[in-house]
Amino acid sequence: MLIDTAALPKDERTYLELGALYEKRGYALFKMKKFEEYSLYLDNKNFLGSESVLTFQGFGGKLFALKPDVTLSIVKNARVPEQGNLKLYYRESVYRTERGGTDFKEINQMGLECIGALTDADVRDICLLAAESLSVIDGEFVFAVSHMGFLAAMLDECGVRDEERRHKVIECVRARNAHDLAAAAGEGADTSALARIIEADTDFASVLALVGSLAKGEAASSAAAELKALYDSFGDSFRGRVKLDLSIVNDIDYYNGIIFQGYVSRVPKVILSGGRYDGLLARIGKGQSAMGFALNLGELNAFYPREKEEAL
Amino acid sequence: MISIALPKGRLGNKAYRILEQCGYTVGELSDDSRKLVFENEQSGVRYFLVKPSDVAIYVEYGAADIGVVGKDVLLESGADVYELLDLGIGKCRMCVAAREDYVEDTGRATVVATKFPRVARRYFMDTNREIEVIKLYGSIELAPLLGMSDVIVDLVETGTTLKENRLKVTEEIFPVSARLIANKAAYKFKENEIREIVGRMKEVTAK
Repeated sequence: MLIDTAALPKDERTYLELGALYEKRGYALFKMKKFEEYSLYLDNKNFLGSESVLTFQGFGGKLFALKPDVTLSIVKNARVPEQGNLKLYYRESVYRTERGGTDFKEINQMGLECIGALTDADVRDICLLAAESLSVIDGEFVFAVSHMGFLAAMLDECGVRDEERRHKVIECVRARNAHDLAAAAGEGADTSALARIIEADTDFASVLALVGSLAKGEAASSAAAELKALYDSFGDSFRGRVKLDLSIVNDIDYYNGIIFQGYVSRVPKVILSGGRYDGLLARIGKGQSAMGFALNLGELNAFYPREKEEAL
Repeated sequence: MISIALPKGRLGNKAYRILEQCGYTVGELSDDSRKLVFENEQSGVRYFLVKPSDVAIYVEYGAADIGVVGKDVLLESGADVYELLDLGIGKCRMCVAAREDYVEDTGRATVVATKFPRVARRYFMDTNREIEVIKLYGSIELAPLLGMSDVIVDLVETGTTLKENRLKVTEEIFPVSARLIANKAAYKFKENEIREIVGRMKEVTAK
C-alpha cells in the first residue's frame, strides 16, 4: 500500500523529506541510546546552556541522565575515520526544561553533525543544507548567520576582561540592547564598535561592509573573509533569505567559527540552530573540527495544522 | 501589521502617548473602555492591553511583535526577547530595603520578601549570600515590620512609602525604566517595520 505523505502531520512529513535530503548529501542515520552518564552533561553544562537534566541511578550507583542534547553523545561515541569526515544525521528525543522552568519536556529533534577535518567548502555546504532544511519546512524562512570568531575578537578589542562583565556584555549583544552596553562593560571599556553591531540591521551585504570596516586583527579579518565567501556561495534563490545577525552569540568556549539560527514565518521562535564547535572537541580531548545543526520539529503541527480534506 | 502589547495602566498610557506622537494612533485607546484590542489599518498597528507582568510573555510567545515593559518585569520574566530601546519613562529603582534599625545577621540565611523572586535570587547569588525567599503579591513593606522577613526586594520610586513605614534602602540593585522589546522571530520577518518604529520612538523620547 502506498502512503500519501501529503496526509501526514507536518512533523512526520518533514522528518521524511529531511531524511531523504540528508541521505542524498551523504549523511548516514545514527541511532543512539536515550541516556548517557550524567558526568558528560555536568562537565559540559555551558555547551548545553542549562543545568536542568533528568537523572536516574543505574545498578551499581552510577548516575545517568536522559539526553538533554544529541551532539554531545555523537561527539563522545562516534568513530571518526582517519581520512575524510564522519557525516551523520539523527532523529531523537531530548529531555529539557524550557525558559528556566521546572517542567521537563520531551522534544523531538532532527539534525546532523559533520566531524573530521572540515574544509571551508564543508562549512559552506553545511550552511546551505541548513538553509535548505528550512525551505523544506516553509518557503518563507530566514537563515541568520553570525560568527563567534568575529564576536570574540570584538569582545577582546573593547577591553572587557572580567568574566562577569563579559557575560553581561554578551547578554546585551544577544538582546540587541545598546542602551545598557556601556554600563555592562564598565569603566575603561570602549563599546562603540559593539554598539554599532547591535544597532545594525541584518541585511547581509551591509552588515558585511560594517564587519569589514571594524575588523582590525587577524581573527576578525579572517572571520570577515569567511562570511563573505559564505554569502557568495548562496544562490539567488536563497540570498534574500540569508541575514547576517551578529546578535546571535553562543558559548565562546565551545563554538568558534560560523554559527546560525533559522526561523520560519509561522513559528514565533527559533526552529533551527547550529554552528561550528571545534571547542567542544578540544575540551573532550579530540583534535578534529566539527559542525552541525538541530531542528526542533516537535511543535510544527501546532503551527501547520492539517487541512480537513488533507487528513481524510 | 505590527502587534504591540502595552501594559494596562499609567505606564501603558505614557507609552501610548509616545507612540501617538510617532503617528501610530488608534483613536479609541485613550477612551475609558473595556476593549482589549485596538487596531488601525492605516497606521499599520494593532494594540493589545495586557497585565503589566504579562507583556514580556505575550511578546516572547509571538502573540505580539513588540511591547513596552518595565525592566523589572523583563528581568523577572527571563523572557528571551530583544530589548531595543530604553524609553526613559516609568523610572524607579529596584532596591533591597529593611527596617531602619536592621543589622544583617551573617550567621544565617537572610529572609527576603518580594514580588521579584528571580531578581532577588540572582542578586544575592551574585553577591554570594544565602537567602530564603518569600513570594508576596502586594504590601511587601509589611513583611519586615511583622518580623516575617529580614529585608524586602522591591521597586522604590520616591522612597515615601518606605519612610512612612520606617524602612530604609540598604542596597540598590538596578535602575528601572520602560523598555521596548521585540519577539526575535517577528524581528526577522518584520525588521524594516520594527526598525521604523524604533527610529521614530528614539526621536520622540530624545526630545
